[in-house]
Amino acid sequence: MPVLRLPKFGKPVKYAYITGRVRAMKTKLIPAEMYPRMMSMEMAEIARYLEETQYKDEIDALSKDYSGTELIEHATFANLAKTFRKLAEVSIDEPAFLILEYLRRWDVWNIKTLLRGKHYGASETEIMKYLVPAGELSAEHLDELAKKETVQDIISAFDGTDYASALAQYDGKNLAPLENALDKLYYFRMERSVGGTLSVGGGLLLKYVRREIDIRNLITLFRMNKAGVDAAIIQENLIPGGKLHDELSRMAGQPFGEFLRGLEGYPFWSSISDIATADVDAISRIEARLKAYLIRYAWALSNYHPLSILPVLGYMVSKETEVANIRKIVRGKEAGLPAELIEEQVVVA
Amino acid sequence: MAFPRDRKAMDKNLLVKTIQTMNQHLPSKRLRLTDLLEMDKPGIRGKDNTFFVMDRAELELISQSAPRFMWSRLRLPMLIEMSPDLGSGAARVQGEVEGEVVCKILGKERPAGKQTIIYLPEVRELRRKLPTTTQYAFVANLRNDLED
Amino acid sequence: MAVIRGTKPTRAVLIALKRRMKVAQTGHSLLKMKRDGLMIEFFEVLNKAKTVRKELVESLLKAEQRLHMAMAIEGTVAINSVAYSLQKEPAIQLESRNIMGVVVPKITADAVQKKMYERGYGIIGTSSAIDEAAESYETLVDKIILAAEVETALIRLVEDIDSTKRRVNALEFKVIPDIKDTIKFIGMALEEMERDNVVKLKMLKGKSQRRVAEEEAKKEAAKAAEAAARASA
Repeated sequence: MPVLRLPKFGKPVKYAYITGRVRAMKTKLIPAEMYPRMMSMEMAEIARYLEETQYKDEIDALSKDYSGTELIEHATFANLAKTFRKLAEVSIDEPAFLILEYLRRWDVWNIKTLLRGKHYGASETEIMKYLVPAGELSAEHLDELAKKETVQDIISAFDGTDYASALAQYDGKNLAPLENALDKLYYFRMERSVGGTLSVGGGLLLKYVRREIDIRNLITLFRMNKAGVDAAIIQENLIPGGKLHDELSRMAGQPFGEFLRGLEGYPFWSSISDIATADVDAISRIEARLKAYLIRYAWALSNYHPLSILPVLGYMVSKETEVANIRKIVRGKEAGLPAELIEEQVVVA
Repeated sequence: MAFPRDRKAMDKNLLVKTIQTMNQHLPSKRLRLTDLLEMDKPGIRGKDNTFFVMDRAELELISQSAPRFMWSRLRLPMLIEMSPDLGSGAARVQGEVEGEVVCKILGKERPAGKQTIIYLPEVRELRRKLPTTTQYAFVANLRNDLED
Repeated sequence: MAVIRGTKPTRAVLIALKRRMKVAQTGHSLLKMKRDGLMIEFFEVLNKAKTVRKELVESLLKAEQRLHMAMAIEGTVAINSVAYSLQKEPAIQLESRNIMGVVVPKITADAVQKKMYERGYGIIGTSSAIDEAAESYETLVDKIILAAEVETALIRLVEDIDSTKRRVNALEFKVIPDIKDTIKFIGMALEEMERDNVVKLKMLKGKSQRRVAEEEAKKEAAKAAEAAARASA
């Protein structure tokens, strides 16, 4: 793992401005009651509805080249990138640093998308459709990378960066170890850098990040325990860190029923208790519930500390979820999926 | 039509030939259950040189239905004999061990003697339970039919 | 009445025909049994085929739904990449089963169901939607293999039932009635000849009796003439 150099923040950090901005942006989020209504709309209607929201600029700009699902998918990602970039731009000092650390997950997403695209020989435009330049890597830099020929070319482009060690996991055939290493690296960095800041906000963000790691690990446990994978292999797929890491890693490889019983009493249990049964058919339903739990957790934390990084975090998590929800609804509708199935997958906090 | 002198033999040959073709799929020698259980890929080769597999689950079922000492006396595939002597609604399973197994699987009383008569619905059930370890065989009594 | 052409109505032929009749009847009942047996097997397989088809369609629908969900969450690039990462291709083994000489395939497949971590995507960063898509496609492949097996069996059985049925019908409606008719014809022809003979014999008998009577009458006449001559003389 790379050694991180952390910035030092001398002055007491001012969060008033950025939290004020975020409060204003939060009101523009699509309200939860809109999702069921969107599910009963036609594709064109959804696009029209989105034009009335913050997605207007992107829909207008892209509607001459795209339509239907493609338009909406494109517009939502473009809007996500724009919004997050703006957040990073209007903040300074510690909040700027913490926001960027959080947004690095989109760098990881972009690197993965580039590698995956090259892995099967996708066209440049196909790859670019899924790039979200919300993190440190700029849109221009990503476009340049998308023009590279092979997986190896992209990996060597990251020589000397923090990602190099994770990218070295590539064995020439399988992206899985590399993808896992990238994700682990992200959370490792996050825990270190957030923990390294000594402000109250940093400590609170750390609390959230640890909870997120726990939830991600929990989802992995759900998936792999259900499939009956060996404990040792599951443990390799758990993200180090997190508050409950030891307890969760002990649950690896348990029979599914026993595993479920062991979860009772944890704070997240109440949000999944009604669907987490031994015969659950789709783990993705549980996953959606757990993600909703995580958003609620972020907002609950931010209520205690209104002048901290937490409202910003809450906004970012909600925004990401919103984009994912729109995409699920649009894709689902296009494929003619039954409304109940889409509903199960839509994350509503 | 001309009737050559050896007409009698020719008619008989025709029937023999028909029965032979109808039974082409049967193996020339049946294998013992004990041997089959030891095989890596249980199965047997028919006279027409097609190999057909036997399901291990069926072999297990059969071995549960017969006491261990009978295993070496049981030869597979078991033959469901169909013969004009029996009429069209019945079939015969020959052999003591075979009868024992068949009756156990069908859940009926085993009649004394070396042969067991089963009827079409039972044939259907037997074939459903043991699709790869039973075979149909067609038998006709040539002597009785042709000597007049 | 369809009499086999060129049959000489002789007693030897009749005996040969009767023997032939028995052969045909034995063959007929054997073939009928085979047909009945094949029918049992056919309906057995048909029932299986029906459920397999239904399951196939169901799992296809489910797989498509899951795939679309996974695409919505992970993006098509991720899904395509996963699809191309597959290292192990399922190997199919073709074996055969034999139902009364009808060779039906028995297909077994290895490595269709893969372990989650062998599918070629990182578990941490992906959603479980991708597992569900992959899983339901694996189930679909299994169902396709099963459907291929069952439906091929169905076709083979139908073909064999058809040819067996043709043979049964040929025997039942052509060969056996023809032999029967011919036997009847020969029987009648023989009876006819019998009657002919009787008449002929009767006629011969009548003729000879008449001749005897004539001769006797002649003798009588001669005697009478002699006696008359003697008397006149």
